[in-house]
Amino acid sequence: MMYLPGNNPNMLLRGHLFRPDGLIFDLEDSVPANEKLAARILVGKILSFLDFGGCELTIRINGTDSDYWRDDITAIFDAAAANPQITGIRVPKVESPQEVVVLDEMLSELEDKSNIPPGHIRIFCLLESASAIWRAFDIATASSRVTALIPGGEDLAADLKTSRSKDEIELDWIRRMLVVAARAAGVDALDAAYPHIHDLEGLKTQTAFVRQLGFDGKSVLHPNQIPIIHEAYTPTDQEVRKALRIVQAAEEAERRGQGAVSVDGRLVDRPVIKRAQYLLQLAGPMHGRDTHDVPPDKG
Amino acid sequence: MPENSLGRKLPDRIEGYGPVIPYRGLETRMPEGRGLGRKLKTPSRHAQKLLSSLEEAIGASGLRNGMTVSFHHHLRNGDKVVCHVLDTCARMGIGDLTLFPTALFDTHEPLIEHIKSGVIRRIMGSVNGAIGRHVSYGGMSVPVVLRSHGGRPRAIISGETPIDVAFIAAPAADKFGNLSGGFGKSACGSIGYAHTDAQYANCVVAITDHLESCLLAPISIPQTYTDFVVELPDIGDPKGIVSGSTIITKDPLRLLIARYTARLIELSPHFKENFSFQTGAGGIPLAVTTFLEEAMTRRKVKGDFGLGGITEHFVALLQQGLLRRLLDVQSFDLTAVNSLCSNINHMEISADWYANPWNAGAAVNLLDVVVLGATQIDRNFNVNVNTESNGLLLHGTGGHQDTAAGAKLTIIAQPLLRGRIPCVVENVHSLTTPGEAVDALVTEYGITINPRRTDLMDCLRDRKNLPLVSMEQLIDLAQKLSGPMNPPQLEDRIVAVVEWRDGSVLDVIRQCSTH
Amino acid sequence: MRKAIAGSMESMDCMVSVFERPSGTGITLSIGGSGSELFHSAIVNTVNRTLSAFNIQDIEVHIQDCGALEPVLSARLETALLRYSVASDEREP
Repeated sequence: MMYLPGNNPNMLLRGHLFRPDGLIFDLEDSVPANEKLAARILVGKILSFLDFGGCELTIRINGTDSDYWRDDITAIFDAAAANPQITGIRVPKVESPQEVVVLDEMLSELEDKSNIPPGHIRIFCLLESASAIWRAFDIATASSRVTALIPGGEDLAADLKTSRSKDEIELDWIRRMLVVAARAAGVDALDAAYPHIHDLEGLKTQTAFVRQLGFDGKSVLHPNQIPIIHEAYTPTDQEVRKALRIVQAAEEAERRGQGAVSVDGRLVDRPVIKRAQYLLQLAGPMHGRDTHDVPPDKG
Repeated sequence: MPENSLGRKLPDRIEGYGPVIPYRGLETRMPEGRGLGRKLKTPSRHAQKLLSSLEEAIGASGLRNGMTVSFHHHLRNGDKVVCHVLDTCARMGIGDLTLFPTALFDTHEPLIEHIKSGVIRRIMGSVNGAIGRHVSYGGMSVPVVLRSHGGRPRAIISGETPIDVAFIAAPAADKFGNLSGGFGKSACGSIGYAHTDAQYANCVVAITDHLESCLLAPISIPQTYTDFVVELPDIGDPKGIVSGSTIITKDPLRLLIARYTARLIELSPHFKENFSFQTGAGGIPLAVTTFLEEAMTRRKVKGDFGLGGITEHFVALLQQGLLRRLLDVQSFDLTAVNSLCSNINHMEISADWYANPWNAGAAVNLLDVVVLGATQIDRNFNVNVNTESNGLLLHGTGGHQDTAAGAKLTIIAQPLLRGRIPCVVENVHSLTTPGEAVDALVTEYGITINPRRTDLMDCLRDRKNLPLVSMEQLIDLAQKLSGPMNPPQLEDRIVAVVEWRDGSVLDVIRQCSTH
Repeated sequence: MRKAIAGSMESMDCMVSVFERPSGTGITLSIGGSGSELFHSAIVNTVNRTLSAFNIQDIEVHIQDCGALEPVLSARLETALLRYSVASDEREP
């Protein structure tokens, strides 16, 4: 999901062309205080003007500790009434479950007024302090609207009384904990963006690492980062072929009423089948590779 | 008013141009008879070709009022020769000239004074920037004739446009009249556009700022063509000679278009062992070259030759063995210049060899793939590169028509919007290359295939990472995004005639109203 | 005189300036930049529609266009007008 600076018409109008899975219209960090009004109006106009293809649209509002967040949310509802692709808000610096409850109530009230189906606007929580990470599970379960947890970068490093290093070793444990909390709560774990936009090799390494930790996706700051992340999250031909064999065998076994499934001479159990189904789901909508391109299995 | 086969209304005759032969198709006008022969001459064995000044050379050339003078544009925006020669003509009281350059650049803006004073009566060739603006607003009494890089040598050799004096900027020369572009302080590499002029002009004057004391080697244009040689302190400014457009774009949108283009080429039936291609020097085509390099390496496909304006990126393909030969009509950077001088597989070719439709076979006919730009493209895939959306004539035709007609796969790669101005329109303002010669358009919204290429459609179907957009969708999208546009305000007067490469007329360009 | 500005000179944006005019003097509009020729009528339409939605009769509007699409132009104009509505009366010294 790619962040688009809320006061930059060029980026707002063209971001979707790079085919990220989602767009985040940012009203927070990329917009200086004297341009908050301008960005809110611009984002609103562009959201109701353009067709964003298959992109999921969310808006990063200003934190609930600021003067802007209520106006941000009101503006979003005007746009959301016109564009059903808007499905959520990304909330920075979420500190407590109570904050989520307050947001949930406001969203319910506005959905009711704007004739938007209840629960349509989901909440993506950015956890940017040690205490927020500590309460990640409680935050994730405070409302059924919460869809994902996302760790912060700079702010978290500062809160840990350290600085953000190139390999982000200081955020290692944060990431692991966040995945556990998200999985326990049944929400997605999305990783923070890689800040060095010209270092595509570094991005590749980090993305492979967070995918292995269990993250469902990664935020993006620059269009050039998108193909790298799609590539990293696209299963290899070998993985796809193996998953296909597992899923087909499982379906075949179910048709025959057999309990045990065997693939390549080895028994596979439930979690393995579930994992294979998830992998095929991932291989489908990802843009990294065509299913056409999977060469015939020769081995 | 009669129409040509593309529905463009044309007069039977245009004042200052002559009778109009309407365009009837890509290859319908057939040549007959013989071309121009060279003027016979026998200089005295003791005659000195090296003259002490441009005045002396112009005097010796026999240049008089009403004649045609030709120039080549290899020194690009660094050229000092065109202005220098015309300034000298003006001082000598010679006027009413037909200027016949292969292209003009912003650096030639001072020529406007010579147009106003009547030193230049007529221009046959591209008019860029300030001169184009001057012409568009009716600054010339006779229409400009726009020809492609292949149409120009065709007009010379067929005798349609005889050259009285060819002035050849030569980065290196000897006193016998042997010329080269490969070295000297104004080195520009190939001087291929000047070959035909040298062969067919009644008189050839070489102008150099690097005179070798003994016989030159290697030689691009031999002494058998050159009548006089003049040495000047500076024929060009190296900063303008090396084109600034050979830097690969960093703009993610243009990279996206380049990536789609390279992918289209890779998936097409034309991407195979020994394929040949041409990509220009613009930001998108250069990026296409690097993405193609990646695809050729990955798929283990080697190309036969690269053609056209040569850049360091093409040289890299030659050096890696991904291309076997380079055919160079114009070298865009110093890497290309050095390669031309040192690598026997990097060959200089003339404009005739490059693109003339009326010889026994031009290089463009061998092309598999070409990637080109456009200022506008319309529902029928007709392309405009000469005029802007506001009607101003600002660009030459270059090799657009020739490569589009010659290549098996012609791709236009261009953003849909430049600011608010759409590139895809219902009907192009003026027509440079007929849609019959265009196979695909690539924009940031994806790939648009000319419906007559059903084979390409089949190659691309169901490619998830390669969006296919129909021309109808693209036109609707462009109209929705940019909103209604005011049509350009035009006068009836014709300021330029756009010829197809065979000399038939594609379109006329009318004067823009001043407001 | 009250005044306000919005927008930027970045590509695909525009700079909108609005200035107070005495009551009864009407609307003056000047358009410069890349869209001033080809999109003149479209820009005039957007400005008129927005001003009437804000119920403003007397104002001077200047637009310096850098290729702004319609929603961008209308967003910038609305921002300028909202800023104008809260701007304090700045007398020239």
